Amino acid sequence: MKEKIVLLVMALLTIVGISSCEAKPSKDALPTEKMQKCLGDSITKVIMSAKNITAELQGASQTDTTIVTNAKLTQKQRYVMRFMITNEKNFESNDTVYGKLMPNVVYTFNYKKQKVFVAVDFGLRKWQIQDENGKPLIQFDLKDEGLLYLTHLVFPENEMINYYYDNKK
Amino acid sequence: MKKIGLFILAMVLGISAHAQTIHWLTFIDTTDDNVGRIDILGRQVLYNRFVNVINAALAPAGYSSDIQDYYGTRTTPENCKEAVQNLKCDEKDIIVFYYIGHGTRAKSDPTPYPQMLLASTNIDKFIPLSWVNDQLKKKGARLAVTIGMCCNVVQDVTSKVSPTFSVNYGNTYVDDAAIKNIQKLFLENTGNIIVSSASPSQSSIAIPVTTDIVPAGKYIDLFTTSLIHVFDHHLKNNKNITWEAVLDNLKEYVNDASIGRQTPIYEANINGAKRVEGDKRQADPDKTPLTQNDDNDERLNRMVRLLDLIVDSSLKEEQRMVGAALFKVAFLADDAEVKILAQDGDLVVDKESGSTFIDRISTSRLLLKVAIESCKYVSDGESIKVKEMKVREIYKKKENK
Repeated sequence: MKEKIVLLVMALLTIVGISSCEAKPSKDALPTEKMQKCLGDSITKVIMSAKNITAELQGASQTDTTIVTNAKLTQKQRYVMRFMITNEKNFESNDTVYGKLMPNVVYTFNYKKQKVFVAVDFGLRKWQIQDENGKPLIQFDLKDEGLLYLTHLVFPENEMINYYYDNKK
Repeated sequence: MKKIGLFILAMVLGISAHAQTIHWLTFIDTTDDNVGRIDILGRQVLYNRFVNVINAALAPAGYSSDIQDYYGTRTTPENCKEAVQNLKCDEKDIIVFYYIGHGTRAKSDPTPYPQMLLASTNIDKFIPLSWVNDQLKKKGARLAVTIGMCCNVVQDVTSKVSPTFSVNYGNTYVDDAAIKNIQKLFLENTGNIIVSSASPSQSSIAIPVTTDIVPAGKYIDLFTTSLIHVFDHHLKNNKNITWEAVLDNLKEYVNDASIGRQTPIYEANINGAKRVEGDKRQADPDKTPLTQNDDNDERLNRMVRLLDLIVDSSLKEEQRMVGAALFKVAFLADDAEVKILAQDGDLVVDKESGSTFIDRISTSRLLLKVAIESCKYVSDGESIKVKEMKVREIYKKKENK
């Protein structure tokens, strides 16, 4: 319980820290060289500039709760999201594992008429960026719990997300 | 006329066929976009370093092999369910199930063992490894071993009940100590064993090859390569070999090699039992001609059963020679060619006519087992015959005196 509170406070501090710099968001979350190299300028632009980001639970995550399965991210949550997916650590590796990516949540970045999807599997600990047709562009290992904290904030009632949150490493 | 004469001779000499069988059910996902290529190598290493060696060591104890080798498009949940349910065996038989491919688990799964995807993306078709273990336990075999090499991470699915040995460009040799240890594991234990390559919430990983057993730069699954290594080490060095010792060491080995990310788990419900010896009952070997309609595994198994008899040095020479003659008449085309492969890889170390090959193996005193890798056939009227056969030979290592 104590650990949970500490982690929650850490997550909130991150958000507060980021939101306190809202006036200059582009300086807080900048695309890394590797991200730009992997995704190209147009996809990176969508991710970094999208003012409309939605989250949708997938699979069992979608059916084990009747409360909320879709959500639009708030401005603060969008900053956190960008902060997480520009984290160099999350671009470090993509180990070959004997499991298929089955996303728990898919975030949709909407910018002008373009869409980019970010699919996250907290069980397999992998995340993927997909183009507007759902074609995977890159896949990496999740190296921290940032996206899990954010997803937990967006869907606090969801059993599956709570399971990962309670059993995080 | 020649055929009738041979069959009568076979009856008179009372050619024996092995009464006991080790059944192998291997399901390997070699078509997956991500791990398929890795698993082609995994299958090769599993067969050359594990399956063939165990079969060779059990052959002198009277055990023949029944191999059901599912890979490529045959790796499906349907085929797995059917193969497990339809498997029939005798009380002295041994069953080994081995899966290499993707796996997962549901958060409410009742056992710590994973569900196997078996090249399917339909979550309703995934098969729990524990179901396979439960089914195999009921078959009445003396020993059933169920091994799943896959991820065991909790995902959105529904709940359901660096080795160091060198590449061998020659034949496989098994020494006396290894034969004794394999026989001890398989013939002096009864019960069942279930093994998962990873603990719940863990992935099973592939690693770059760090041995010259296969070409460098390739990947192989950590668990299978570790199993081969640990098994080989125990066969050579452990005078009091037990399943628990091998599996505990394997757990530790995989855990260390993955820096704590992957720890295999197992459950061994086994009892030490009086060693079972194969009965050499009098029987008529199956020499039914091969046909296009035969299942390929069954075709190979039928030939292997007769080859087991031909190489069985405990039989009288005349019996082995009659078996050889029967094999030539029943299965080989006149111009058949046999290519002998090295233990590792696809290197052809020797080439012989089918007739010369059969004659040679029927007089060998050191040959333990001939494993057929693949065959090409030619039509011979209603039946088909072998035109080209690729085999691996496993020999008993001569003791240095």
